[in-house]
Amino acid sequence: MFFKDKQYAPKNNEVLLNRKMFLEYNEQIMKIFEDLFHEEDLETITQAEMKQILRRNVLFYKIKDLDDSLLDYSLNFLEKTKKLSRFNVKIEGKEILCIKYLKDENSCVSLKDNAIVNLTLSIRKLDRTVTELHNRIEETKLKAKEFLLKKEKQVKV
Amino acid sequence: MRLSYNNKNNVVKKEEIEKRILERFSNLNDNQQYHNLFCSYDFHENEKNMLEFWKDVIEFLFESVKNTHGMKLEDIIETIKIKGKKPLGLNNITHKLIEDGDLIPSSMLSNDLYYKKYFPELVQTKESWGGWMKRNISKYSFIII
Repeated sequence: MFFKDKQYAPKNNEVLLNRKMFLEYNEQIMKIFEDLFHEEDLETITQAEMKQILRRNVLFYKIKDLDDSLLDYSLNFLEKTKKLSRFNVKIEGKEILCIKYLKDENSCVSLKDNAIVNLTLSIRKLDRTVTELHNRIEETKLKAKEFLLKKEKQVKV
Repeated sequence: MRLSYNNKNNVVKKEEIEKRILERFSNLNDNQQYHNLFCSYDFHENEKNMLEFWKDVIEFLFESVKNTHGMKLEDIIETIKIKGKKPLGLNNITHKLIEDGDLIPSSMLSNDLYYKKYFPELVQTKESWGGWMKRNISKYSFIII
C-alpha cells in the first residue's frame, strides 16, 4: 500500500483536495484548452493568460473557485497525466511560464512553441506601442487645432 | 507550488457550520447515535458505517458549507465541532480517506508513484518492445516447453 509503506504521512497544514470536485475542476480546465484549440486554433498560452480567461469565463465554465493555488494544483495534475505541458520562455530577461495543450499522445513542447510565444508577445508589445503612438498623434492634433483656433481668434480681435 | 490555500470568500461562522451539519445529518440529534459516531476510529472493518458517515460530512463541508475544493487537514478537524465536542476519530478517518483516495494531499500531486496507484488509467505508458517480448515469453513459455 502506498501510505502503509510510510512514503507519505499527512501533515496538519497540508491542503487536502476533494477528489470529486478536483477532477471536475480539471475537466473544466481541459474544456477551456479544447475550446481555445478548436475555436481559436490556439495550443499554447501563457499561465497569466490562462488566469485571465478563467476570471472572464467563471459562469460559462462553471468555475466555483478562483484560487491561484487550485489552478497550480490542477495544472500540475494535468501535466502529470500528460494532458498539458508547462514550459518557460525567456523574453527580455524575464521567464514567462507557458502552457501547451497536448492534443494527442504525440504532442510535445518544441522550439516552435517557444517561437510562437515569443512572436505573439512581441506582436502584442508592438501593438501596444502603435496604439500608444496613435493616441499621442490624436492628442497632438487636438492641441494643434485648439492652438490654431486661439490664434485665429486673436487675429480677429 | 504554493502550499497555502485560502479561500477568502468562504468565511462561514462556526455556529452556522454546526447548524448546517445538524440540519443535513439529523441522526446527530439522536443521543445514542451521536455518542457512537463521536467515538474513536481504529481502521476496523466493522467501523465502516462510521467511516461512511464522516466521509459524507466532510464532502458536505467542502461542497455545500465552505464551497471550496481544498482544505487544510487541521482546518477540517478544527471546523467539525458539534454540540461542543470534536469527533475523536476524525483524524484517523481523514487519514483513511486519504489512503482510499477520496482526499488528495496537494504534496502528492508531484509524486509519480501516487498517480500510478490512484490514477493508473491516466498515466499508462506505452510498453517497450523489450517489455512486450519479456511479458509474452513468460506468458507462453509453457507452449515452448
